[in-house]
Amino acid sequence: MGLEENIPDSIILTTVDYVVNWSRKSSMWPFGFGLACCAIEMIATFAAHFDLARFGMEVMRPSPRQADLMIVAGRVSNKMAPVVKRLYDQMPNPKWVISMGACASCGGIFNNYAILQGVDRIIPVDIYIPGCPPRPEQLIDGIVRLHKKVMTESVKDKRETQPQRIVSKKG
Amino acid sequence: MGQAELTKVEEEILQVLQEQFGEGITGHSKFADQLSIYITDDILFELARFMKEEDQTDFDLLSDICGVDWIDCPEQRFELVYNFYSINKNVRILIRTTVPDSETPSIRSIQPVYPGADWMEREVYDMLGIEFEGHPDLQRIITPEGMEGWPHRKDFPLTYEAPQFSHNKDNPPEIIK
Amino acid sequence: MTTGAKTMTLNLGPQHPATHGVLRVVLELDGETVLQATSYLGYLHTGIEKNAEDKLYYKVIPMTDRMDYLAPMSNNLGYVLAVEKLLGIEVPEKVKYARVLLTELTRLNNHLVWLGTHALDVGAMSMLLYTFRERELILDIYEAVSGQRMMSSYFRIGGLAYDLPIDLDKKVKNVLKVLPEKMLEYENLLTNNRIWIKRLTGVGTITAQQALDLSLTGPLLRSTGVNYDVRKAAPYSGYEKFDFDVPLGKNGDCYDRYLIRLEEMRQSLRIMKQALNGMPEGPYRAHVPGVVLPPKQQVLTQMEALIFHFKIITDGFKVPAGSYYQAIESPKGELGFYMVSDGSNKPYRMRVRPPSFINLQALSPMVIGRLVSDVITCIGSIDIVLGEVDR
Repeated sequence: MGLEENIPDSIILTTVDYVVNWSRKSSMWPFGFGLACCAIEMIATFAAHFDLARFGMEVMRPSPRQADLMIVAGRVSNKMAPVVKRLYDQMPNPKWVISMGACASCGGIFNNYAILQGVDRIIPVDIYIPGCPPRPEQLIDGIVRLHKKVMTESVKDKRETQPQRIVSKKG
Repeated sequence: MGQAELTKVEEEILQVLQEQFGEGITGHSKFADQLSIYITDDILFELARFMKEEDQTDFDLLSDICGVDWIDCPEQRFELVYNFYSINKNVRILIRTTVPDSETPSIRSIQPVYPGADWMEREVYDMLGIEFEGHPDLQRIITPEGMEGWPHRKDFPLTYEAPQFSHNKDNPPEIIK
Repeated sequence: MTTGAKTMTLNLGPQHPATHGVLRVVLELDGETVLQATSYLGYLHTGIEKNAEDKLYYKVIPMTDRMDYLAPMSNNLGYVLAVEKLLGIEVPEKVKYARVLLTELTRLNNHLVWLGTHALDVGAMSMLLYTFRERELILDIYEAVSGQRMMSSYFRIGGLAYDLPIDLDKKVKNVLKVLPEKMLEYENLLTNNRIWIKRLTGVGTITAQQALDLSLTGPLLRSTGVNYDVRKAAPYSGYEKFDFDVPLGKNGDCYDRYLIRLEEMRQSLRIMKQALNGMPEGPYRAHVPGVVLPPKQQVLTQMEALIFHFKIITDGFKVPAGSYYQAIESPKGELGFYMVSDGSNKPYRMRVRPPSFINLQALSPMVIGRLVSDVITCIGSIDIVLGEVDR
C-alpha cells in the first residue's frame, strides 16, 4: 500500500543515522595501546581463543590518528596521564573510550600518590568495565554494549570531549 | 631473634673484612641464613671495591640496594642495605650502613665499581632523596617531572584523596593532607 | 658505519606497540645506526612498595600480583616466603609441592607470552595467536585453583588460599601432554627459520663480565654461560628435591636467549611432572594459631577458631621485628623481596628487587652501534614487564 511497494528491489530505504551508526560500529578500529595487566587480557581477547574479529574489530591501529576506540587497559599513573590525554586528543572524531578494569575506572586497589584515581578525570569515558583484570568475556560484553550505544547516537549530536567529573587539585 | 651460627665461608669473609677495615666494621648479625655486616658510611666505596676485586671475597654480583627510612632516629635515619652475592662461593651478604638526617643526605656512589648500581642508586635517590656522590647521572628515574618530595620517606603521605563511595559521591574528593 | 652527517633524535614510546607497555626510549641516531639509547621509566609507577606499608601483611599479597602480571604466582611466592621466614613458619610438604607446581606453570605462562610478543615484534605475527591459544590452558588451571584467570593471589602466608581442586590432576596432565607437541610446532616455525635466525643471531650480544657488572640475572645472565639459578644456588620451597637442568648459552645473543627460554619451558614441564606425581596428601595450611586462618569447618563450629578467624581478618598478625631478603627465580631472573618488620602488623618497608628493572639496564650497551630494528629485538629479548620495572 505504501511507498515501499512501488520502489524497485535494488533500493533500500533507511535513515542517515542508522547507516552511519551501523558502519561506525561494524568496523570499529581500536587503538592498540596497553598500560598494565589489563592489556594482556586485551591481547588475549584479540588473539585466537576469543577472537575479536567476530565483531569486526581485529584491526588494532598502532597510531591514534587511525583509531576510533581507545581501550584504556590498566592503571594510569600521574606520569602517564598527560600522555593518555594527548593520545586521546590526537584521535579523530568520532571517538569512544572504554575504561577497562578497576584501576582505569577508579584507581582500583591503588589509592596512592602515584595513580590517577580514574581515567575519567582526564578524558570522557563511554563504557566502564569492572574487574581486576576483567575477563575477555567481560571486555567483549563491554564492546557489545558500546556497539549498542553507538547505534543510539545521531549524527547531529555534539560529542563531549571534556570529562564530566571534577578534576581535583593535587597537593 | 636468636643469632644463628656463621658458616665457615661467612666467618672467613668476615675475618678478611675485619682485618682490612678494622674500625669501619661496626658489627654483624645473622638472621636465619643471612649474614648482615654493619659498616660506617665512609668505608663503603673501598669496601665495595675490595669485595669485588679480591679473590678472598669475590662478590661479583651486586643484587640490590635498598633504602629504609627510620624516621624515629634522626642520627641514623636512612639505612642503606647493599646486597652482595658471590656466584662462586654461593654466599649472600647484606652490608648495612646508615646516613644521618640532613638537608641533603649523601653517601659515596659505588657505580664506578659495580656499573649495575647505576639505576639502583638513581631509584634510591628518587624515592628517598639520598644523594650519591660520584654518580655520573643522578636524576630522578621513576617519579614524574616536577615531582616534589621523596615518596618512600615516612613523612610523605601515601595518598591525597579520600576514596569516593556512594555516601560522598556528589562531593568533590576531599584532600587528606 | 657512520656517515658524519647530523644526528637525529628518535623518541620511541611511551605508547609504542613494541615496547611491551609504556617504556620510553630516546634514541640518538646517525642514519640507521644507534649512537645512544636512554630509557625513561616510571610511566607505570604504581607506588606498590609505599602502599604495602599501609596494608596488613596478608593484604599485600594481591598487590604483589600486579607487579609482574605475567608471572603472578612467582611474585606471591617470593612475598609469602619472605614473611614466613620472618615469622619462622614451616609449611606442610603438600604446600611446597603445590607451590612448585604452580610457579613452574607460571614460568610456562610467562615464556609463552614472551615468545608470542617477541615473535610479533620481530615480524612473525602468527606466533602470538598460537602461544595465546596454549596460554588459555594454563589460565584454566589458574582459574580452577583460585577463581581468577590472571591475578590468582593464591598463596597465603603459611599455606594456600584453598585446597587444590580435585580435577587439577587431569588439567595439568593435559598441559603436560599438549605443550611438548605445540612446542615442536613453534620450533618448526622459528628455530630454523632463516629470517628468525638473521634477526636474532649476533644481536644484543653481551659478555659474561658485562652481564655480571650490570647485575643481570635470569636467562640474560645464563645466555652468557654463567651458571646462576636461584633454584639451584639457594633452593626454596623444596626445589632441592626436584631433578632439572639449567640451560646455559654461549654467545649471549638474542638467539641463545630464545633457545634457553624454550629449554626452560621443557624443564618446567619436567618439574611439573615430578611435582604432580610426588604430590603428598596432607593439610594445605600450616597450623599456626593466630597467624594462619583456621579451617572453615572449625570456624563454623568452634568458638576459638571463630575468634582467631575474626582477629586475623580484622587486625592481622604481628611479625617479629627483623629483616630478611628472600630471593626466588622468577621467569625473568632473581626476584627478591626484602621485608623489614618493626614488630607491628604492617610491613615497615617492603623492597622488591625487580629483575626486569635491573635487566633493562642492559638495553643501552646492547643496542649501541646497531640498527634501529635491533632495538625492538633487544627489548623483546630482555623480557621486561613494565609493571615490575616501575612498580
